[in-house]
Amino acid sequence: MPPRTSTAQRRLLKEYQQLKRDSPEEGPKDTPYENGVFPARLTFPNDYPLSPPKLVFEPAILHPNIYANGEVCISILHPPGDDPHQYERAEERWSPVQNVEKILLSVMSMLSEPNVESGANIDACKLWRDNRKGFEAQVRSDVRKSLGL
Amino acid sequence: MENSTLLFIATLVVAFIFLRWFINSEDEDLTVAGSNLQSAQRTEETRPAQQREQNRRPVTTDMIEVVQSLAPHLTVSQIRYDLQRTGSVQETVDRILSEGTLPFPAGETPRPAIAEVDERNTVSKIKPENLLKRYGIDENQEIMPESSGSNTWANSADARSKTLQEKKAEMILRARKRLQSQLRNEADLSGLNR
Repeated sequence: MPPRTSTAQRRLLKEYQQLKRDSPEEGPKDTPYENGVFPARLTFPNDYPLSPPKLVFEPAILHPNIYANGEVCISILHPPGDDPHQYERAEERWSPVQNVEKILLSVMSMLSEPNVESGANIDACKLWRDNRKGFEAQVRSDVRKSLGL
Repeated sequence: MENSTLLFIATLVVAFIFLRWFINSEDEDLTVAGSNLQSAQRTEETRPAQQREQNRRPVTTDMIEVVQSLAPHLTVSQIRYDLQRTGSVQETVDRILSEGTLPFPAGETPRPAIAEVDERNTVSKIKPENLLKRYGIDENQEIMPESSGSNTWANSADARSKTLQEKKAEMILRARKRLQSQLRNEADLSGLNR
């Protein structure tokens, strides 16, 4: 008898195979994150794809929408349904038609365009807003260190 | 034939009158209820607090739940306090919609919601880590050519994790190389400007 696999596992396998063929990569160009490689861990719940996965950068990176512990805060990773604060539209949030590739694309666009209005890391938000040069210098130096240069 | 047409018209007329009466009476009911409410509020405001305590209306948990589901930002005690005053979910919800919030019961103060510190921000893990060390990559390692068969789906899990590992190494080395040349360019440029 073949091992029983759950819906979540089947779906993840399918997405993984697709991603292997054609995967988005790395820090976006013309941003301080350019050339950077940022390892992150996606944690999938048992009822995936009904509930969204969690994305944590390890190590954390300095960004207005990433908590200091590395957890990413973007609308696509928020549970489906309406935002209690009326800030995000329901279609921006997680739904089973989203997938890992969409998450990665959203993260890439988050890296190039931080959303300080719904920031996660308040200190990073302040730095980004008040001292953009300092923020970028900090990110660049982190990228250099992570690549051993 | 003639008869059925007449009957039809008669039914329409009766239905029209009945509906009209029904709608009108509902309106009247509402206005009566509204004026009652206004006068009740007026008297309640003038009454001393002790008397108001006795005048509390019964509140069920169902009512609180309904209001809570519509206004998740309010506390249970706030909702209960207002429901005890109004006695109706409808009125409490109307008040929330028009005022955005409900008053706090005596002795309770609003929580400072904005000053709340997210526990995900308390421990900072923003520390760059050397990825070459982390993944055991030799910096002088040759970069594997892109078409080394890593885009096909290997059959065994070991083979897959091996190609994944290779891909990681390749990605990091490539990024390192690009950054290196970029840094060299920047150094050259600043050298020229001097």
